[in-house]
Amino acid sequence: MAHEGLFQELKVVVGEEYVVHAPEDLVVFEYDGSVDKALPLAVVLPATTEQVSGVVKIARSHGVPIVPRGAGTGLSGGAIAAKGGIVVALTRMTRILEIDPVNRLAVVEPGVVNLELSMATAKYGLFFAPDPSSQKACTIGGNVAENSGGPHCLAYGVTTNHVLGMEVVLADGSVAWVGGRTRETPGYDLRGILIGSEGTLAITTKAVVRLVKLPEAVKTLLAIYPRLNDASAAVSDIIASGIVPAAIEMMDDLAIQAAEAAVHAGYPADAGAVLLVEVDGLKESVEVESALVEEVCRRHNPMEIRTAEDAAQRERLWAGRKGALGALGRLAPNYYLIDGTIPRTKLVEVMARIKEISAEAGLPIANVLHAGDGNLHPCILFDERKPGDTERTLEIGGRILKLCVDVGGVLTGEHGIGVEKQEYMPFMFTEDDMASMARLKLAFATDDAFNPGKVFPKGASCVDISQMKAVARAGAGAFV
Amino acid sequence: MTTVEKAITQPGQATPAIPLFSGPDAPEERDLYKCVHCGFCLQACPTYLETGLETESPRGRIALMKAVNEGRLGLTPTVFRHWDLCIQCRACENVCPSGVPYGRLIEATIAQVEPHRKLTWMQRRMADFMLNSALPYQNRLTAMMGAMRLYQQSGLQRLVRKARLLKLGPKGLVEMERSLPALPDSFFAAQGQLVHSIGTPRARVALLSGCLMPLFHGPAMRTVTRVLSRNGCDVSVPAGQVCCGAIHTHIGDLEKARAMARRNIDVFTASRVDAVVVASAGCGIRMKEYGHLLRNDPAYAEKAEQFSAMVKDIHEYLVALPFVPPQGRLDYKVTYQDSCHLSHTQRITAQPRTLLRSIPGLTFVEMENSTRCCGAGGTYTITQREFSLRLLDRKMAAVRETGADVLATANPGCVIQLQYGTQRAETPMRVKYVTELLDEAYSNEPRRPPPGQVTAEGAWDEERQEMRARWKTRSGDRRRRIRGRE
Amino acid sequence: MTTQISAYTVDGKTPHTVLRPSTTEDLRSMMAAASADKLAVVPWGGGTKMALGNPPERYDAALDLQGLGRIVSHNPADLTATVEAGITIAALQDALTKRGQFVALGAPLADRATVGGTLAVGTAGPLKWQYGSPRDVVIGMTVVQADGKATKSGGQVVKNVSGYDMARLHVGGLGTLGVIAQVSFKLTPLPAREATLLSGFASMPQAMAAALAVFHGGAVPLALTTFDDDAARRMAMPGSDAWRVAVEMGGRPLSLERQVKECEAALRAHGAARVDRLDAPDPKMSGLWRKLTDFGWDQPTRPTVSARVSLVPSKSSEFLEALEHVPGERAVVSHPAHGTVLVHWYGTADDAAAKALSTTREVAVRLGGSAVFERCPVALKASLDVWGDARDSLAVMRRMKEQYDPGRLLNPGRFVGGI
Repeated sequence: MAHEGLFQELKVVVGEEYVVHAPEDLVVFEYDGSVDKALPLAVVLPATTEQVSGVVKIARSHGVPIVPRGAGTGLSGGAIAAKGGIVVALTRMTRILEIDPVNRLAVVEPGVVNLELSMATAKYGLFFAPDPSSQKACTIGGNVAENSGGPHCLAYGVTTNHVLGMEVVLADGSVAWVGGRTRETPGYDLRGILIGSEGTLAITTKAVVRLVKLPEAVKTLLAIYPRLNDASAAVSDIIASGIVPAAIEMMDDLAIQAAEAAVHAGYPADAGAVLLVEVDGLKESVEVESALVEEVCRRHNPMEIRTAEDAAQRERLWAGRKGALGALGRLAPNYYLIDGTIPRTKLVEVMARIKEISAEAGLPIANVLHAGDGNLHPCILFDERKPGDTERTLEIGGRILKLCVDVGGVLTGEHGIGVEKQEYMPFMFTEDDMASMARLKLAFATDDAFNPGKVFPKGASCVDISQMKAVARAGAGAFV
Repeated sequence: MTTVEKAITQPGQATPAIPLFSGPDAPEERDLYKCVHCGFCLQACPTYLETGLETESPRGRIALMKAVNEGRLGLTPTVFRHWDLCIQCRACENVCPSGVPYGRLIEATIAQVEPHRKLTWMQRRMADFMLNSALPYQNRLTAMMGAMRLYQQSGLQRLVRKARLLKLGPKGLVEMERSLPALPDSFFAAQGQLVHSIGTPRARVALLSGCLMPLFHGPAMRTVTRVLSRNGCDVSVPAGQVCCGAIHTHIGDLEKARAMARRNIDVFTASRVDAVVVASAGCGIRMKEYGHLLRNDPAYAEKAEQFSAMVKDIHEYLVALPFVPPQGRLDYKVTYQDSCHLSHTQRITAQPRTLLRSIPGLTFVEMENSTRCCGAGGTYTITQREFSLRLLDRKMAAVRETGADVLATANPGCVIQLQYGTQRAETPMRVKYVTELLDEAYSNEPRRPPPGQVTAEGAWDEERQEMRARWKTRSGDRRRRIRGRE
Repeated sequence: MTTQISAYTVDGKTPHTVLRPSTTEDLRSMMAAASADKLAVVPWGGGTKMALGNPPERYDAALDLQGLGRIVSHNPADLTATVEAGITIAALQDALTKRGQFVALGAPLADRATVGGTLAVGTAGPLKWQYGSPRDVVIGMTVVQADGKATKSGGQVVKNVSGYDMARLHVGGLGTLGVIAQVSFKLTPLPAREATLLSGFASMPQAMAAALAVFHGGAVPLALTTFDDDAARRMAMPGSDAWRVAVEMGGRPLSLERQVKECEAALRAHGAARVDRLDAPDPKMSGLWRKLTDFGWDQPTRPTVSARVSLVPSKSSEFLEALEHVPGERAVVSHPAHGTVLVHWYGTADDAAAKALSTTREVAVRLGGSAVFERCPVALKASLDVWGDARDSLAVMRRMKEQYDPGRLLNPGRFVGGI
């Protein structure tokens, strides 16, 4: 075989069984949590930084691209080998190297699963704040690459706010530290640049993360509204009232129906929207703020308000929200999930516009959103077997993202650009903006060695729908 | 039989003319494409956790199924290997947001693989014998195990092991011999017996005897009848019932499994009962899924659905009854291993704990990751021995951490595996069924049945008779020790 | 004009020209022209921290951004604001306060320090540290590159992963990769009430232990600062405690009262000789925090040399103990929760100052931290590295400079490793 020599060299570095190149084995590395697929040439599973460095050097000497991969739960195609090459899966580097409760930090390998870290630090009353919905499976390395958020990042911030430093392998195979254990280190904030760079600039092999005190009290409130507009207005009002809840989540009527069918959360059949607000902190302020939130919610004519104070009750209130996306499969064979963010004051306007777009196109759109951040997740429901459905879905997806950008928002709040939204980059950025970003690749001397074919538009800046068709097995979706 | 080694094609470029899924039992597309490869299942999967390899994950196995289904991959030995490493614990089903019926998919897939396996003549004969000539016939199985018990107890086993005679036999024989647990002095058998309730009957239930549990754990089966009877149940153990067919589905012989399911449905529905109680978690889920197994059988589809609705796991049944909390003390520190086929597939996790916590004196401690598989999984201990042991050792480490002196669980496979685990870990810890502990607690009660609830034929008679039987015979449990009626 | 030009002197070098854009478009065309003429440009905000960094290699033009002083938009209901880089921190915070909000960004001499300059320096002040470093509050940025092109990144939303997070290059980049023209911030509602506890201790270890106890306790302080008696005297504070701990807390009335109670108990349990409470809007409270923020930068407290040391919080005490043996008149202000220790020396001769600074760095590095010499006489800059070692990532940093400013026009030579 053409690449036998390459495989042989890789095997010397990571061991025979951790170089995967049989066709049957590669097929399970052609996807991540998104809709796109591409087969890699080989997959290697290094166990140490030195092995990662060795693999990078070998790949470079053969002129083969490298695609870093964690658990493969990402939603924008960040972990797929868009241009072939070697996938470096970091799922064997799973050690929590250190927990330092005094300085509230932990040092972890990239394959450590997000939730496992919080479970390991809970005994010190600490946790790792970013909580993407895939937190049971996704890795810290992946969180760093994608700058992951989660429902609770409204109050706590996203990954970049919680990582102090990383050990990384650069494109020449050298190992460097960016940031460190302390808040300030001399020089440019390379740490901040690498977080969210979608694996295109370096491979993280260790991360120093901040740990946050577990809140003393948590109160969750569920407000059910007859109309979407009322719920959207309530969200804007809560934010404007000077309270920053830990999370504000919202679902519209279609999402409610699906969730109700799947998990029987007990939502009224005629509910137009459900709002889930969580307040945490010191118990005295939680008391006051949850009362204030409730008052604001009541101002917008809810059908009903429910509250939860213990873990079991909270679990019940969250059940509908958490089960919503998985349940959308009940409404249509496929759905296409969008991830734009808008200023929170535009919620009413944009939600209404999305409903109009849905009606115009004749395709239902269910909405599940991190409303507190203005992070929308419209899900276009369609059936890929119906002629024209897929094309229309993609076209609407583009229109919704354009709408987000037009009202002062952005293309993606937490899923990343990847291959999914690369063609939409010109909605938001000029040629100069993108050229400036692209220079980072030169600064990191990657020569497109790391994760090529991502983030930046492929060729011309216009969005070519026919090109997107390959992407369109959009049964996929995802859990946000 | 031919396996075509075929380089994988890019997505969407199917190449026909390689062996694909076929027939009415092929994995259903509807189920397959429910998987949106979100990856939530990864951390639930014991083989993924152990290897960190996507190929050994539920999502990876489904991707292989899809690739075969789409004609991008053939049914090759490499593909089989990844499917075979699945323990079928179904922990992934529990965490799947899309509701992918993984158990159904992997069973259907393994069934597709069967005809393509390259087995030696000897392997094929052995498998055929076990599946078609032994398991469906409880009397043959009993005779075999009787002979085995003789082998173990007569000193022959020691001799054979010492002389390493088995090394001369076919490959795998040594492991099989070693994994066979010490057999008890008495077996249990379904002979149409009826164990009367203590006190006024509250319900009438039929009990699945099963295939291996009555032989490996005969005395434990009797604790089940006693516990039921103590809780006011008339317990019948219908004659003519057969193995539930779990092992057959597990390794892909769906036709045989269906025949056995039909037989059991006939036998158990011959007389009216309130519930069909199953003491083995693996058999419980199998029987609860008869409806799906026989969905294409016009004569049985509906009956099977109704039957499945009647099947109750013993713990589930006792708690719903509700059971009488025991008065007798057990001063044990107990931890509980969730059997996969109880926790993941039947979603029964609270009830065994409720039963254990009800026992006065008993201290209950949770172990870390109690729902993670111990590595038993039917024939898995034989076919994937090395891997099974890796999982077992990890499990025993978690168990040891609790400092418990009794490890309780709910499935014969788990009991056997965990007993072997205690041997390997060299701990004096005992492995017990939850019902055994409950029975022990009941037996520690003052021997004075509550006033007004005395009957002549109670479970306690059975216990006395059992002692007597054990005294009289060492070769089997053929005597009918309980007066029963059909 | 000469007097005015001399005001733009940096480390003894004076430019030929001062550029004063009043719009982003001005800035863009001025940079384009400077680029065409290959002029070395030093961007200026309020000029409060020009002592920082190496002397410029070349210095042709000062780029004074104070003309870019507008609030472009403030969306109170969305808790976001976009401002031009030349607005002062004080002017911005005043405007936000009127709507009950603030941005978690502070700087010494806030009525002169600009948003752009503060971000370019990138270090956190003592205030509201729990809301993060300056880099954590920026959600979008427009930058004018060395070639005169304006590029933007981020947006005006609080959650965004569209494209690379380019603003990170410029926060703490000392204007060496581009000139910050416009910034979008995420804002925070002001706490309903605020209170400060100022306590006195007989020794440094006691004060540091008390501060860490507060950090780990039930209260969620907004700011936590310790300082020695020398610093107190220079700020003309009464009393003679060897060390003091100041804790700012905020929140709803009930939770604030509880925090104050718990915090006071923790301070006393660690040997506080006295604990005084100051409640906002008591001018003494804002006065205390302003003095602590300005320390080392305003005229009365300005030292000869100073070092900004970054450590993990638990090492502050050990660090200060190791520094005991270094001779010289000194004042220390530290933010233990952040792991920052600011050491200032006064009236020291050059060689003694050099010795003090290098010892400071040695100890900091030995304890896993780093030290930046924020104030250092030009004479000493020749022999001392004011930034410290960026180690294995320096090569990438140099290539950044090559990419974004190949002509070395922006603050040439002033940054880490002579970038």
